[in-house]
Amino acid sequence: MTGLALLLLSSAVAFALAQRFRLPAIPLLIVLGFGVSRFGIDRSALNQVLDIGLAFLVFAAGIELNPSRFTGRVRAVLWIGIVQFFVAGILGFLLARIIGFEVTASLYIGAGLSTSSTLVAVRQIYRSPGALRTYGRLVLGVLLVQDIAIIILIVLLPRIPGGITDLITGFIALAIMAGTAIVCQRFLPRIVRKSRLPDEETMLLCTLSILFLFSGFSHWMEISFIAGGFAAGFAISGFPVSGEARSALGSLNTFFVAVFFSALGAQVDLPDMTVLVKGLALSGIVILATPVVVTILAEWKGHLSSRSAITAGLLLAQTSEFSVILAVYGERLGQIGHETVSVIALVAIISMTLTPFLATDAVARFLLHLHPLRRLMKTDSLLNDHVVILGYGSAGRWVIRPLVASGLHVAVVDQDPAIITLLRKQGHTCIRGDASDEKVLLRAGADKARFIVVSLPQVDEVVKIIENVGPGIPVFSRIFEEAAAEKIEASGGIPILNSTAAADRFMEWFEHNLNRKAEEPGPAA
Amino acid sequence: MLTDPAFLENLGLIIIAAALFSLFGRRVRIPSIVAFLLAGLALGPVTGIVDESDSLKMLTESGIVLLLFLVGLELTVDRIREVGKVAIIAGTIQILVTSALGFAISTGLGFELLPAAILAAALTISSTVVVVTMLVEREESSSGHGQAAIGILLVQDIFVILLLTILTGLSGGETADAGAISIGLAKAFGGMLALMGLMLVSSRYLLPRPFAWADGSRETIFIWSLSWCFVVVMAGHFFHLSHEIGAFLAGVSLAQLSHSHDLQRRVRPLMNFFVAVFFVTLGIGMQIDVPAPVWGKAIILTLFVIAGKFIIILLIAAQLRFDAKRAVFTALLLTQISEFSFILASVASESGLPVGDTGALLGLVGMMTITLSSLIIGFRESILSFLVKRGFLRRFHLPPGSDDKPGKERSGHVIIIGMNTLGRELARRLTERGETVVATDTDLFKLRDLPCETVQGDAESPAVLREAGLEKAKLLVSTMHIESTNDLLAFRCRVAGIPAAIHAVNLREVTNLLDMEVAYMMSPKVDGIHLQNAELLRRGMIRK
Repeated sequence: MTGLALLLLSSAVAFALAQRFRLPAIPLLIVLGFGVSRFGIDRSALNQVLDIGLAFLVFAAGIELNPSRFTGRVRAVLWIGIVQFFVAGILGFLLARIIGFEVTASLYIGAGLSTSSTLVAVRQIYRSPGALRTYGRLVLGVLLVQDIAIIILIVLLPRIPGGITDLITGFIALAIMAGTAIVCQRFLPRIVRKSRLPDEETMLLCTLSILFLFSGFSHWMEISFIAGGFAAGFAISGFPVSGEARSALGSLNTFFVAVFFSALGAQVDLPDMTVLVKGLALSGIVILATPVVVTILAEWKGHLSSRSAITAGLLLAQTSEFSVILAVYGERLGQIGHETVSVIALVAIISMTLTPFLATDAVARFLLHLHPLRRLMKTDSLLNDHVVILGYGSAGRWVIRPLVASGLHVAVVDQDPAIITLLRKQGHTCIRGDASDEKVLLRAGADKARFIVVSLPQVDEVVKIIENVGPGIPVFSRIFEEAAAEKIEASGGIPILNSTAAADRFMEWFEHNLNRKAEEPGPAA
Repeated sequence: MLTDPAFLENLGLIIIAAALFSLFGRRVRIPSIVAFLLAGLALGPVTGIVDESDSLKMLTESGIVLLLFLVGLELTVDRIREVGKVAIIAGTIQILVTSALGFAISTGLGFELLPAAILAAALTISSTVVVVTMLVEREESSSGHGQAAIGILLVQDIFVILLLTILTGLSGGETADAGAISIGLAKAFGGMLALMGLMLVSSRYLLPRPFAWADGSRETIFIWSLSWCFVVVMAGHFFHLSHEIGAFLAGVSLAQLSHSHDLQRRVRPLMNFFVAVFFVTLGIGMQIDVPAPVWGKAIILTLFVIAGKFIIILLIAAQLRFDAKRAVFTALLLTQISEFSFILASVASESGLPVGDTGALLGLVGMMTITLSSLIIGFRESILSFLVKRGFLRRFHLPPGSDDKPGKERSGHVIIIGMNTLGRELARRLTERGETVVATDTDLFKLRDLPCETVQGDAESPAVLREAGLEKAKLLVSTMHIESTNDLLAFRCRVAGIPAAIHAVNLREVTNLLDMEVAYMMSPKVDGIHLQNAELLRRGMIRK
């Protein structure tokens, strides 16, 4: 009990610091857990927390794995995910060998360096509006591929000493497990849709039962229960099962993240000078190599604009909570020493803490200048008295139709090459690029335009565009939040509030369909 | 496996058994506590799959802590004033009367003086965990009978602490060290007063400011509250106070904050998990292969606990002028013995006192009374009307039951999820045209200055939707930008048969929502384009 109280206390401080300095919570949890361990914590209690926490965290990660979230990008996701995984892994392995680790330890370090943190990256993505429309989904997909890869490694790495037959049986067991999970993922939603669901308490127990059934299954097949937990999560990731499970689990996730990583920190030893130097060297690989690999591939295979590709690369430049899990697991199996665990944990702490500072617009813009393939921009002198459309998106055709019908010439700026190709076929003027880039604006002839229509979700970008264009040319910007509209108005733009428009429409519908106040609430058409 | 392979395995078996038994229990309408105890019996004494071990102790203890924390969270200072006096009077009289009768019956059954005294004390106390679980399950912990029962239980808890202090003091040897005992008692009382004072001061001066600072992040608030709870428990431990009292006081100190309501909902899943483990392990630890005479005594004592406590509490309630319903419900809630009864017996035997087979006996009585009382609670309405009809209650001179006020049950209202610009706009416009609107958001800040009723919380949680009154709503509107939440809300509305108007974030979402047969899809992006075209037309920038 004292142990739990101490762990919670240290995580309370970690969460406070994370909020105050806008840092990811995990590295802080580990560091403070380390700090609190000096007060003496019962190790066996720690182990229990680590056990449940481990099973639970992979389970929660599995639930979030809905492959349908990135349909249409499968090829790019696989390319980036796999190449990044191997490049970082091999570089990590080689550097680890060079700085004097044994082969097994180097393998663990390589594996640890090859994945990025879902918890950190997802938080960052949801913080920047519009990320999901551009690079966000690609990053989520890559994270999924990496998670699966590391689960495979967690199963296979401990079997290396057993030789090839051991590896093959491990692989078969993994395949059986994955097959079961996929079947459940398909069929559970049908059952849930048809049956009346029990109360929250029973729902919670049922959800956890699935976790333990899969863990037991994996134990029986002699593979790590981590793989079982992950498969269990995937098994219930279909809609609406995932939603019901998530709401039943509720705050359990926060609780286990907090105590697990604090407990982990409490187990780590104070790093000495050599560990520190090695950790820094390995962090260098993660922070330098990953962005380069991802940027190249995201532009080439994912057809992202340079800036989005760079941001995606920066977002993935950290090691994962799974890296640390793998290390702890390897130590328990007696395959790697305590020093290796400390190094891997250190790399995670360094790289995760740096992510919020690196994955920013400012850094991406700065790196854009270093980009060797940055296309040279020519001003299109033919454009004059036209309408510039910044951001086409999914609703763009409705934007340009009335403009074209009024005999106006439009020039569309968008990042998506597919859209550009389509519009070119229809005979429109298009510029592929980042609308907030001054040179792109110039190329679209924004300075000579009749007016400009912006549909970009980030207010700061819109404000910057308005400032770049200068007064004299009206800039219309569709935006959702009132606060954003005020900013746009203050900088001289003309905001169009999507939300007000939607409210008007909704009220119209409401009057027609539900305007039977005194009567029974009936279903609407 | 990482450490003790038995640990995760046992935990897994416990959870799976608990889930199976409670799923099945729901079919035949037995309460979850009984289902859990049966699951424990099945795993432990019956099949011997899981042994009683210490490895799960941390989980079960945490369960009790969280349970009492949750109870404390519901108690504002005003409410404590309301029930405090009643609780102290009723609790004290109950303890005196029940233990006297219990002692008489135990000696009648042939027990020596000391074991009889232990039995009497053990039979007097009711189980906080059982009662509170039943109350929380029915969302009644703030009802009249709920508060009365909790008040009495807390007085009993103090009684238990005193007893335990005395019993551990006795362990010094043959000669009871009066000095040590009185020092222990003084420490316990002093500690309790100190802790209560500390909680009062911190709830007023220490806690509000940091919690207001962390307002935006529910995760931070949640973890802070939990750590506050456990820190206070540890502080109480220092004064030899039970975990229950510390957790309860920690809850009370946080109950005065505006976050308490949302916190309650967030602590609950965690508590449910731990408490399920607690009850199943309780079942696992039972001894059922005892000789027939012990069974006989157990049955007699069980009858005493159920009938005796019921009548004693009714008598006290009559003196305190409870109405019939409150009196009967309170009395029914308390008709069992506590997990502390077993602890009392085991501490006594550890102290080297000649207590004989009271431990096994109390185990049986506990099992039976806990099972029976949680079954009885299911029929309390019928029991009440039966007692009223037969004129049984007239003997107690209870005032006739004043039915609970119907409360603020809403119906025909509109629930709006997500107080972004669109949500606030809709809340304002719908209220203006005379609709009853319930606005929901996770962020307390966004719910400020709205012209309508508000519910703070995560809309994915069924409890939040219940509180917003989904079952009787006219319409649910979600303006959220999060696909998965919108999908889930659409699904819940379809199950409940309530029309839904959902924000269609993107094309994929449109297909999902069509699938879920929502009544209306909001698409601000498209609507915005129409508004933009109107604006361009107005400025003469395009032709019609």
